[in-house]
Amino acid sequence: MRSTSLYSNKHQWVVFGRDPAKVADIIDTNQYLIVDGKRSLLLDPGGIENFSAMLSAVAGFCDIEQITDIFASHQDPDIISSLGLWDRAVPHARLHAPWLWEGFLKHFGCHSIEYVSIPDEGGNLMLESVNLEFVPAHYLHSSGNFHVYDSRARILFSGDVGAALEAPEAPMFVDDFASHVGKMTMFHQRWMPSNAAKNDWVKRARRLDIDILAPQHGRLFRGDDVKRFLDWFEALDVGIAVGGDKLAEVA
Amino acid sequence: MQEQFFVNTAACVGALCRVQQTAVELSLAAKNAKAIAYRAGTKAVGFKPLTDFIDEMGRDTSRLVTEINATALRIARRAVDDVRLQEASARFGRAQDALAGGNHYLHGVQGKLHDELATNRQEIARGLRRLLDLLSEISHRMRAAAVISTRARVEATQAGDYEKGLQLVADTVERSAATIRSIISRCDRQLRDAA
Repeated sequence: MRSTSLYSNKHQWVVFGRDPAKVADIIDTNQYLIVDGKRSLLLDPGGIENFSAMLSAVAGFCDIEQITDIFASHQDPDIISSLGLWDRAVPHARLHAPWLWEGFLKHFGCHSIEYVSIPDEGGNLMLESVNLEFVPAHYLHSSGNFHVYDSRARILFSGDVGAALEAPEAPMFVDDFASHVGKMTMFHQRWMPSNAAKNDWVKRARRLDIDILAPQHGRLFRGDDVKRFLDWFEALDVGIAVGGDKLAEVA
Repeated sequence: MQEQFFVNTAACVGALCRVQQTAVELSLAAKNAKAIAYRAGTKAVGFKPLTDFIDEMGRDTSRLVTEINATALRIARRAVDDVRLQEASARFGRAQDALAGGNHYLHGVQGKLHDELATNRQEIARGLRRLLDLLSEISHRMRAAAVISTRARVEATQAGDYEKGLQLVADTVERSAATIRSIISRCDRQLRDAA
């Protein structure tokens, strides 16, 4: 599992992904870790198949027992189907996830970890020194969905927004936005159901000071590419599969 | 513990539901027989104790099957837990292997997993012994039912106009007992093979 440091000051951000030992035919995912003193937060820790690689990778950055919090942006298996295993690894931890998915996520096994419901309007999580904001991103793509904003590191973890489908050995950052668009278009048009939700999110994201936009799949955006992404996403027509007649065109 | 075990246990729970239905049919047959014997009066005097026995056997079978089902379901759940615990243990093991020198905290987590696995397996073994005892008990009763159906046929021949009705009761008892015995024997074999 490759790890890349995104921010390192009083607290740290690390992204994990591009696992060369990943099981074939499962989508590549980015997992994130925020280490803040003796408290650490895992963001979208991934699926069951990634668990061993993730656990050993994380152990290189913090003590496992110091993982006090886990965040799940939504309910998908690539996001959090490893929950039952984290439940054994860090039974003292708390899971912050949309209230909407509590009864569903617990199907993955959540006997010891405390489920902390995030209300629709979002909320905050204070680690040791850093205050993180849960930003509503409902219908992007899941009906109960949040992103995480760190105003000190100026990083927005954007879940499936900004995601791209590409080769597992792809670089961690976008280096040519124009050529990257082709890898994102189908994903956003097909997975994101609502233009209204998309535009509402873009408006909200524009109010944030973002250095790095960090999606759960594909490459991360930094600097001017963040604005380029927001402009591109705003102009994109999503939810195109209604009626089923445009599916073939996109594929 | 074979992974096939939890599939077989779950399959037994499903099959035993049919035994429950058959036990209900047995009780209904006994009630029917009682009504016929009442109408037949002295002609079916030998049949009446048999109907009481069939009725009691139907109720006993039903009670036993309820306990068997509950026990089998508990074992099926534990068998699934066993698979999940083994899988968790393997995944923690892979993480440990990837860490040079291992990780002390993870070592503790793995220790707890192994303890839980051992306890779970003891409970499965205990449940399995109980389940096989219960299957054996019900099997004994079904052998008795076969004898009763033969006796019922003999008694039915004395019942004149009511003979046909009472023969049908004997048929039902015989058929039900054969069905239950066949299911029980299959479950018994499946559980012993997979354990």
